[in-house]
Amino acid sequence: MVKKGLLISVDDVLTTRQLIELETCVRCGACAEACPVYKASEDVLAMPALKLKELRDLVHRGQGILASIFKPKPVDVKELERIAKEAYTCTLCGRCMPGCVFGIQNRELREALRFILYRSGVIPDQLKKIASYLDEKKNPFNAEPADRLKWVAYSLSELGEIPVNKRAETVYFVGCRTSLIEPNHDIARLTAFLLNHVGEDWTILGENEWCSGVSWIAIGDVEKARDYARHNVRLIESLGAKKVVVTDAECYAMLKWRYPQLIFRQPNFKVLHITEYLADCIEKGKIDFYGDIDKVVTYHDPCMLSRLGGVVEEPRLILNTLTSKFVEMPENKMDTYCCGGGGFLPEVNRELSMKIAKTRIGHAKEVGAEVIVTSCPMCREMLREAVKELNEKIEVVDIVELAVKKMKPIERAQIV
Amino acid sequence: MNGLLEPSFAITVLPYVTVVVMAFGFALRLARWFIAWKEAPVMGKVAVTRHGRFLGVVENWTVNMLPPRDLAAKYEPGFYVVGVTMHLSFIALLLTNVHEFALLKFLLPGVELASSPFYVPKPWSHVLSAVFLVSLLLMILRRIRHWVSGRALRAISSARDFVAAPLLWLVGLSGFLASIAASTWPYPLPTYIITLHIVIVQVFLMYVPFSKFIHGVTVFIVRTLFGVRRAEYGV
Repeated sequence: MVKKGLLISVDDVLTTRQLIELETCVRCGACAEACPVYKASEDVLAMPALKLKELRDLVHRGQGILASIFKPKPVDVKELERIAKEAYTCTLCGRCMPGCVFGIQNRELREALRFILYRSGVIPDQLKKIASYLDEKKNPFNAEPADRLKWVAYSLSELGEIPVNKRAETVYFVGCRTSLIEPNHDIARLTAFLLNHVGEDWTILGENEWCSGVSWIAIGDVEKARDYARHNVRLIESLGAKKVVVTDAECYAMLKWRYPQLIFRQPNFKVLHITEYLADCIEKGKIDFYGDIDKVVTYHDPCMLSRLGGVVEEPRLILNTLTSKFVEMPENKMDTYCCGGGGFLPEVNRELSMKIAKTRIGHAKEVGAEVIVTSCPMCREMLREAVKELNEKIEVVDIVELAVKKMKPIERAQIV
Repeated sequence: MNGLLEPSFAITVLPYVTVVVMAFGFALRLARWFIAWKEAPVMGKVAVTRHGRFLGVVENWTVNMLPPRDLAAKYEPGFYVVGVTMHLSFIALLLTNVHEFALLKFLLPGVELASSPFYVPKPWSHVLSAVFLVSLLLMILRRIRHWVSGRALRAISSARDFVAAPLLWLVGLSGFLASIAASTWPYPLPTYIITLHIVIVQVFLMYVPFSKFIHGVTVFIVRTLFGVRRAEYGV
């Protein structure tokens, strides 16, 4: 009987650095203790080192010494499905990287594993559906491209002009989650208000904006992510923009760090997260705030903004300007804990995602926080849901929300 | 005392075999890395930087390896302490005994490294050996404990993990005994222990490029590149 299996091609997946990393892992398991998914589930499936081991085994079968001498060994489909279950039980938060005693950049290896699995057609069904939405509508929510302008439509009278697809110095890259999920529209509206307030020459891409590509990376199709990156870069550059402001941490990490990798050049614009933009405005005296905040405020660093984005000081500068009652949560900055929302884990295992989010709420409670500030719509959604399920009294807000609330009353009156 | 334990075999024939096997192993590794280098990688290079790369690398080799920055130290302090102790004692033993390596004597005839500033005199080298053996044994026991109780490490361990660490432990034990045999402290042991140690060390060296011991070489690349990344990202 012929054993059914797939020949896995790994040749174009891994870089030399990644091959070296695969061979460096000594399987000590230290990364497991740092992994929020493993800590929440206590399931070996979630161990970062296990995923690395699976990837190494696949590489050896396709590219190892024996495979070179004889021929690559096919992998059983059932086995691939088991590996897929492991690979997608991950939020891609990257905490396994500082958790590794050698500093193996495990997150990118996870992406490579997902890339192999995606090409083999064994990704979870939920993600197949999302991939089809992305293909058709250029967003993971199955929304029509025109829906990207919904927040603009009912904001016009409050915010003044919101320029769409016009030549401008700055592009506000709204992101799918902010423009297409209604509870997040406030982030876009308040950002538009801020940009108008400081007199920025700005525009949005509107219907022409595509997913930044972060969803494709999480699903496992790097080539599609590259196409999307090229589309967005071409569009932004065609408007003559020199600066891109982003409110979604995932989009920020994509535009800032992955686009140069994906398109093999540095785009002709600078990428700023709204926290960097706001911090700059504060330092230049373009925005004034009034009063203090009466509640204990803490900050949740989104993984994609801190560990994978490098923005850790700016949000703290803003919060220390806004309040005298700012406290740090445990597991902050580079070592920030995941909110449970990344890597499509909520789509694959909602319960596990929520467990991670609840752990994060526990961290906030430890320091007596009454308000959790974050700077990513995904983190806000997850933490808000966790607060609701835990029946806690903690408020979860975006940093833009808090900043606009504390702006001078006369300025705030325009939008409230 | 014939065959393998014959001193002439251990210090004349075996080093040739060791050199050839090691060279072959490293060449295979390098060939694989080089092939991957030539093929167009999926990811290009990061083109922007925030902070100086050099400082990032230095930081990643110093403060980032210590508590509280090191997450392993935070979550598994026992493992961290034992692991660091094992590695440091291994490096110290290596530097102390490097001049006695048969392979080195073979490759660099006439070169005497006994005056190395890293040389640890007896009986302190014996204490060092004991520390190394105990800490490595604790690491092996940690894996066995996980294996037996079906805990996390069981899922990621393979048979090779149960070969590599015990082999290193045998290197340490035979070296410890050989050192005692050579020094007659605290009491003399048969001299073939020394030959046995030389043989085990060479088996170990032959195994290095094909096993997890390769991390002794690659860790310098991996940790440095992570330092570069952290510097680029500014975290």
